[in-house]
Amino acid sequence: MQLKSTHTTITVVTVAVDGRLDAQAAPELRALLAEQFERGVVDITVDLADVEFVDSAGLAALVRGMKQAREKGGDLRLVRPRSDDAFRVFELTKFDQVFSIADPS
Amino acid sequence: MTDFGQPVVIEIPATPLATRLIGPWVSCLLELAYGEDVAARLAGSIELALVELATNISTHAYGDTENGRIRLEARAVATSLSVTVVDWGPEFDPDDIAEPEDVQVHGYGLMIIRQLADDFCSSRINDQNHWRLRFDTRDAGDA
Repeated sequence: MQLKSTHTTITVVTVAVDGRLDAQAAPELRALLAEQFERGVVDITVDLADVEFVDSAGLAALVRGMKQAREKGGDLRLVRPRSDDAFRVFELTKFDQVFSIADPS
Repeated sequence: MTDFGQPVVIEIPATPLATRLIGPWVSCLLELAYGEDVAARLAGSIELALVELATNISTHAYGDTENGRIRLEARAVATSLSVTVVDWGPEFDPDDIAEPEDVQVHGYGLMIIRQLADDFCSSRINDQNHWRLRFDTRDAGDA
């Protein structure tokens, strides 16, 4: 008898966010990203397509996650919010040029 | 344009959750004063500026202090909306804060406000910080 064990590590995860990504919601996203890093995930896509509002506190959670992912050899990528208002904070801070951002489907 | 006569005022707890009251307030008073088109065009950017300021006040002026309050007073005139934001925290000079120079996690609030408001200044009056923001309500195509 031969036993063969295969260990699969999930390294890519997509996180979908909707509603508001602000100072109230940021700690929850920060904790969720930290949990993924602890599991060994280093490539994360945060889908912001349905987000209606992002402020600098929400942005901070994403920037922290991006820095952590890149330090571990991965990346944190974004799906662009459909709302131009929600995307404004990225343009004002020029993080639209720092993150890898895909258009929403 | 509809003149309010008196400032339209809300006072909120200095908490992250309470900053969510600012957006509906801004949308409503823009629609009342200038109509739906101006509200649709400007509500998002004015909300962002005011939420950034309120969050900065909650974090830096009040810190761990409970029961901090933030008052927002709006005045509408023909071509602009002015909002005075008042807090009872320690004196704070925004000019002492350097603009972010590299990719950093925090420190973008004032940078965002300065880009969104057409005028932004602060003063210390009777142990209160008064933050004055003015937003031009004319469309770029208006003469």
